[in-house]
Amino acid sequence: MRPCTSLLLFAICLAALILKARSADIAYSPALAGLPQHAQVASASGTVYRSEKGGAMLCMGGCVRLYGSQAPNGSRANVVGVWAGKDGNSITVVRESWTLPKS
Amino acid sequence: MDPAQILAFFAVATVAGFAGRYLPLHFNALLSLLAYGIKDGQLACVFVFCLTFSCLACSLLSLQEGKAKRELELAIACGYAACATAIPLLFLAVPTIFSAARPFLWVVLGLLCIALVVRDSNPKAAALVMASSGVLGFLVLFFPLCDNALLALFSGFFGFSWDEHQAQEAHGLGLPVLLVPFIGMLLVMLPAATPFLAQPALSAALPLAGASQSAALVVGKALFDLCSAFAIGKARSQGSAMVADAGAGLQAVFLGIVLGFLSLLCAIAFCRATALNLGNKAQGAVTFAGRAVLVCLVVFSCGLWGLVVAAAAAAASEYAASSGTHRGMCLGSLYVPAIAYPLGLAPAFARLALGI
Repeated sequence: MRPCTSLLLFAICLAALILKARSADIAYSPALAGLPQHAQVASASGTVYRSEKGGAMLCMGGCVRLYGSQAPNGSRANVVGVWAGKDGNSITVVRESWTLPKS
Repeated sequence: MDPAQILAFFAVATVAGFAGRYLPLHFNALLSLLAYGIKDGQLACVFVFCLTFSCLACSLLSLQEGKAKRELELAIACGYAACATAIPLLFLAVPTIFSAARPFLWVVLGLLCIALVVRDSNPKAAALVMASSGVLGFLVLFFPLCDNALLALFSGFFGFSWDEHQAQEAHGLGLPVLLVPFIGMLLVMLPAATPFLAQPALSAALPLAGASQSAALVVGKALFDLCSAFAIGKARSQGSAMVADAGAGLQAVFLGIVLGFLSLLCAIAFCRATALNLGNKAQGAVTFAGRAVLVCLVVFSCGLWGLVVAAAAAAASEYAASSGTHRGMCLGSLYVPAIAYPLGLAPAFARLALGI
């Protein structure tokens, strides 16, 4: 494949991916998730961004307290990536480390 | 653990690793295909170790013939043995060093990336490939565009495009084996580091470093990777994440280290016993079949958007190959996000992409 053809194909695919990202259909990603899926945010630190389409996003490096069926109550996750659902409540957390609450 | 089960998993993983000699299936693809659904943590641990080193040895040895191949075999085995001997050091010293150096690791990573680009035979193309792969990596890792994003990325970068075998110059072994554990430990501390990233450091320490030294480093880094989750709480590869998530204890890890070495020796014996070339027609058919498997795997594991990700990655990889730069520059998809997060660029990128 010629270099310019490769670059053109790359640009087309990248544009498609950016359009997909901007469609805000970003409620859930097993690839990013690990644990927990669709946990609820009890409290969060870190910058919170809210997109015009309704999804909220937390800054990487923040910390969230979680509860929900798939997150131990009161557990903390150091956040590597967080994605909010369109309702602004359900999120997907990519954890770097994971600590259970002290009982 | 049932010895018969362990033996069965050892055999399957070792034989599967031989596929790397002929098929364009990278390690993550083999792992996704074969290790999916292994429930027993200890067996999963053994399987990952054996598959890793069988696969690695076969891939590395396919680059060489003749006397150089013998040197490479020795380098691979000695690199593994040196790093296995240094594992106590990984557990004792590296966690402390890692804690102290953690805030500055992104600087080291950045400097190594710059060194890679500057040292490349075509620095402009190398910079373009690393930057464009970085944007792709940022997008794919930051936004949940597809499932199993790393599989899609690596399939595109290294699966759909496959280099012809190229013999490399090998330079004995000697002292480098003693250095490999230290360079490997440095790499384990760095986020998103691959052995390719160590080339500048290796060349600076050993100006005549060649295929043997690189091979020893690749094997050693892989071994440290699989132990890193236990030593510093970081999983640096899919195999490492699987070992960590399997919940296997240290006993299973040590068993994995021993069986991994046996698997590596089996791979060396296999590569000695079999001819390198299948013949153009047969190799063409095998490559086509391998790529078909890879496409199916990407669609099945990552969805259709995974195929778009893989296509973008394959295009970047093809550009690298056609412009004479190293395909390893595509690993900018991991390096660039890893450098950007501590710099605080991730939110800016997200705002830009989301239009907020």
